[in-house]
Amino acid sequence: MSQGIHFARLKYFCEEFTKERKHDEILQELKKILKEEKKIDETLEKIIEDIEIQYLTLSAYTPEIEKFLITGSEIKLHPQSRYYFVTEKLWPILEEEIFKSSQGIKQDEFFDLVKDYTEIEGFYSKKMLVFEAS
Amino acid sequence: MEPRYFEDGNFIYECKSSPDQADGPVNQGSLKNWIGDVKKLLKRKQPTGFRYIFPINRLDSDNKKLLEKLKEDLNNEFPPINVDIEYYDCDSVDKLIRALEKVNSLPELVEYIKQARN
Repeated sequence: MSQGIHFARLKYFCEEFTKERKHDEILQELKKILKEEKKIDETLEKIIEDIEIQYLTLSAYTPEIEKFLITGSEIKLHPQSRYYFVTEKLWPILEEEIFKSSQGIKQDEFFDLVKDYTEIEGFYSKKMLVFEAS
Repeated sequence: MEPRYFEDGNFIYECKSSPDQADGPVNQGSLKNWIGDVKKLLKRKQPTGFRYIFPINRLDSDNKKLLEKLKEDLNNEFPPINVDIEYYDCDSVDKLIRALEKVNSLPELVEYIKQARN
């Protein structure tokens, strides 16, 4: 079955908090908090907000990305959830895929893609970027 | 790499599933995201028809509401995107398989759906 990547932002921590910590620390903190959650979908719905994307569609089946999505994945927010946190290791791989998707596209699509990238990158820098794979 | 969708002439076919909810509804959150992708795909490709296939799930009324809203949203685009949309879940996909097999259309899609259902 085809699987796509859908970016979203975390609303749980404030920027003050994320600014002083590394991506990995945010991820571990988040996993610790969500660990005991029973209704994980409902909880995540409250703390995650979709990012509106104009052009970008990314497949989850690129071998490089797939490595991060295996069972027991380190970056998964909760075992029963489809959400993953974008770490410093994963980001350059996503960037490369985003760049690849810009090959041979029309001008207006290109500008939409640039807008998407800027938006996503902004949340990545703030250590608030997550995605759903489905 | 897995195919994202199948194309036959001016028709696009896409299969999606929530494997952890087999025989039940598709995950509503995932469906929202998929529909976002579908909108982008249809805007870009402008096909005549789009067939949305959920081979191992059974769509519930919430799922169907979202799918009907997709049709509405496309009509409300400016200019409207005229595409004939049909969706099939595990109860109705046999109808589609039979129709495709009759005209020997997209055997690879038929095979793909059959494999998914096993």
